[in-house]
Amino acid sequence: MELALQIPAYLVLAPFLVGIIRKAKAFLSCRQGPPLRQTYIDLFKLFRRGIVRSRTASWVFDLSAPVILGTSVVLAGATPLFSRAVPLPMHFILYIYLMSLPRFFQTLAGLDTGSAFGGLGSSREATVAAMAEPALLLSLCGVGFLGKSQLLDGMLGGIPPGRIFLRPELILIAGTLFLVLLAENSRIPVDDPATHLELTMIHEAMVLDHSGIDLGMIQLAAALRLTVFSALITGLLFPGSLSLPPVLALPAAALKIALSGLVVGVVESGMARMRLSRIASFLMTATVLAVIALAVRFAR
Amino acid sequence: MGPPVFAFVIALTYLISGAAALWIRSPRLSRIIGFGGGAVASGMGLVAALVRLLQGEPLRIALPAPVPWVASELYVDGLSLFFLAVIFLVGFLSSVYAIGYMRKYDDEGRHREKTAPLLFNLLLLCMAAVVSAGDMLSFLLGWEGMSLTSYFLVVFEHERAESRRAGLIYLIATHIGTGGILLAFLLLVQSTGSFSFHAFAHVPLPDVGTQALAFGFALLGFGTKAGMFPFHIWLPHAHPAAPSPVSALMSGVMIKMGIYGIVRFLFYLLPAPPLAFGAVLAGLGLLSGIFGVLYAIAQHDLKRLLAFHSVENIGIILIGIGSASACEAAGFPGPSRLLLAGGLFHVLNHALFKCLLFMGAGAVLQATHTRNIERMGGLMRGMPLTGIAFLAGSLAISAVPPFNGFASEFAMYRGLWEGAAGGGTLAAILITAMAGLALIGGLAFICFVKVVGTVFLGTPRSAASSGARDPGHAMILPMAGAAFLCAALGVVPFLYRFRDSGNVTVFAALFVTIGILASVRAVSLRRNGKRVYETWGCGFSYATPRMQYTASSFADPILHVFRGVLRPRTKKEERLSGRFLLDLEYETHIGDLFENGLYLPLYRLFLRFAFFARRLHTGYIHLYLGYILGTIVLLLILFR
Repeated sequence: MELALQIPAYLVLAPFLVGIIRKAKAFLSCRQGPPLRQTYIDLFKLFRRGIVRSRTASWVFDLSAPVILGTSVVLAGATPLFSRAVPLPMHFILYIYLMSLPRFFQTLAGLDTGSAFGGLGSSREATVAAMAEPALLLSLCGVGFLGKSQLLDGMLGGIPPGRIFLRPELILIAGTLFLVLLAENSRIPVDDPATHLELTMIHEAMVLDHSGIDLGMIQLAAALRLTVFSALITGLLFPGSLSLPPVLALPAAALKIALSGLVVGVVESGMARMRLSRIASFLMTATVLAVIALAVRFAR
Repeated sequence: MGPPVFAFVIALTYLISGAAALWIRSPRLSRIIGFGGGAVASGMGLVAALVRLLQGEPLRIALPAPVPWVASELYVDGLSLFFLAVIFLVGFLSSVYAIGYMRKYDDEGRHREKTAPLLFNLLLLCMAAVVSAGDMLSFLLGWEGMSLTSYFLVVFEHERAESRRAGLIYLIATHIGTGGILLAFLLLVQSTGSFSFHAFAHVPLPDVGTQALAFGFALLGFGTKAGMFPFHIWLPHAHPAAPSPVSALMSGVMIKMGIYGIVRFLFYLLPAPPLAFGAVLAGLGLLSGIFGVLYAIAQHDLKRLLAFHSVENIGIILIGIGSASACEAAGFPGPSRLLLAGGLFHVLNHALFKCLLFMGAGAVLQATHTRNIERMGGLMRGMPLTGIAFLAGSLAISAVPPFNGFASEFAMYRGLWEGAAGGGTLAAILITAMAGLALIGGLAFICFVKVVGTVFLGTPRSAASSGARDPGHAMILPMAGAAFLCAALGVVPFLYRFRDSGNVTVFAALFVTIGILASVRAVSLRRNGKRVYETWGCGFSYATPRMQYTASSFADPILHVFRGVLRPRTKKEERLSGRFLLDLEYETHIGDLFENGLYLPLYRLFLRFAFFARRLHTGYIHLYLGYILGTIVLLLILFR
């Protein structure tokens, strides 16, 4: 029962998370911001529209949106949200590498239209992803050592209970994952999802030529990926939330997601975007944090 | 029919069809018989190797001795059979491909194309001999035969200075390598008093120092052939210079002979090597991987780029093998087996997708008449089949699941993780290897998005690219076969038969989800409409192909990040009139650091020495006789 609910819960929570982030940012800059339901309305509208497709695009472009959303849904099926069991148990290496499938199609779709903006976005996206890869891998590898399992649900469920503040490696890994979350989900300080100038975009430049249902799928997929990362980090910081009774589990999950939305919103409001050439140092920092976490783990 | 007879029949088929190709007058028939015979022999060999692999124990066959007092033998065990299967598989695919590809030399009327099948078949035969040799002499005979035949294939287009230069570099490199192998073997011969591998395996070298020396020489020798960093410099010259089927064969299997040698040495001939050997090997693998892929990103020449990716993949394989040896030495046999299996599986996988990519590159080259990817674009329209096959190969080489490149790296990651869970020095080595593999994977991803994006997608950047068409069946079918195998080996469950991983379930879920979403999209578009229109150009409407993102701009951000190690040389010239810029010239070039920084100076030093030594050659025969006398006296004094 709970297992069948996981993917629908993710699909419902994903636009909610985006809404929370917008609300938080609006609140911190003394604006009212769009209502929470606005993201749902936008997605619904996009899904009902036809598309305008570039004359140059090939079948790769047509296939990209389903591949991107499909992979995100599968990833959501493997990430524990409100219980230790998941509908789709997945090895953590497969989990990380599966993220490259939608990226391959998304970056290719960016190049497929023959537009300079698409290429620019693709190039930057691929660069950021390559730099983030070691940090992501090492941190999940560390979680695996802590939880003594190679499966994502197993490693999160296997973390022995105890006070989080007495375990520096957990905090370090969560920190690494948060930096990776910012980079992989095109948030400030790596990318600005709200920028209006094509030349400064990363993710948005790549999807400039997507419209209608394609754009809807891609936006939903992006929101899903952000939610998946949030669930991963909060699951790590609050291991207890994965073994709550069913009545409390769903509200607790919503609370966790809302909390990470607030944090992302606060970080985005408090920082400016970095120069592109600085992103490498940002992600290098993340990798170093992960290495320290592993060293702490083995020093014990 | 016993295995020796069958092996003899296969060898004879290679030789006869190759020799027949020389004598047949019609170039077309010569091609079909020569390469066709090669394909038949490879097919037979593949079946035989697979059947034997499933049932047999090691096979030792005594051969008539090439040198009177030395016993010569074939030794074929599971490792040899695995490599034989890889050789014959790629041999089969590239022979069929060559039937179509080599047609472009038919109209030259120079008859040199008739030598190609013979050389090609001999190369295959020599490689088969290398992996089935059971003693030092037959091994070296096969090894040299392989090096020489491949040299002649590299300089096949000898009218081009580039080919001749590549051939020379290759010839020097491969002989330095052979020297290293010879020295390594001689150390073993010295301690065992026998030339047979069987004897090597059972008599350990006396001390760690000698072991390290032998291993060092073996690394130099086999590493050079494999294209391991820092002995890789010949590879990016030689592979692009050869005709495409030859590049496929060389990159797909010939460099793997170096891997075979290293595995044979580390796991069979050297009993119980210390942990440091494996660590050194994994470290060199890491450097090969990272430098290989970084240089690949900087290339615009399609075949040169693929050649650098061979350096990268050899690095990945060496990470697997080196970590396997380190795990073994540290007493973790489980992870060691996983790592070795992953490394060897990657040998097969790389052979498949690299062969596929070189065949695709050959088709593109033939259609566009250029190797520069900046002049291609939009080929998916005219060459849809080549495009799909190349895309499959690119996904595989970038280790994107569910293709085969991921499957082997997955096995390696599992081994690394399980080995690292034990802690200690080993954990530090294996975790570094894991981080390195992740970085290599990310960088390879950039490179292949760049290649597929600029070659097959977007709009054509030259007239030749807009008129490009798919090649004929002989070239398409092997590509399709390789692409099918790349996908199949990624999803078949045999490698995932481990306790706690449900990869196959995940793949099934993935296919179903994507399928549902694609159908939803199709139905929705039928209802809501789809309009074909211009690409968004910021409101302007005079977009030209030249306004597309180029491969160089695509690669620029990551090269900028790594500029510290790549050291690009840039030249910028401005012509000003007062304060106004009239003209700007900008040039940037990334050369191989080791080629320019180490090998060229060494080469110049050697030349200086050679010019000095030339003074000994005066032309007087009396003096030469004196040299001989002096040498004999010296030897008598030293080794009395």
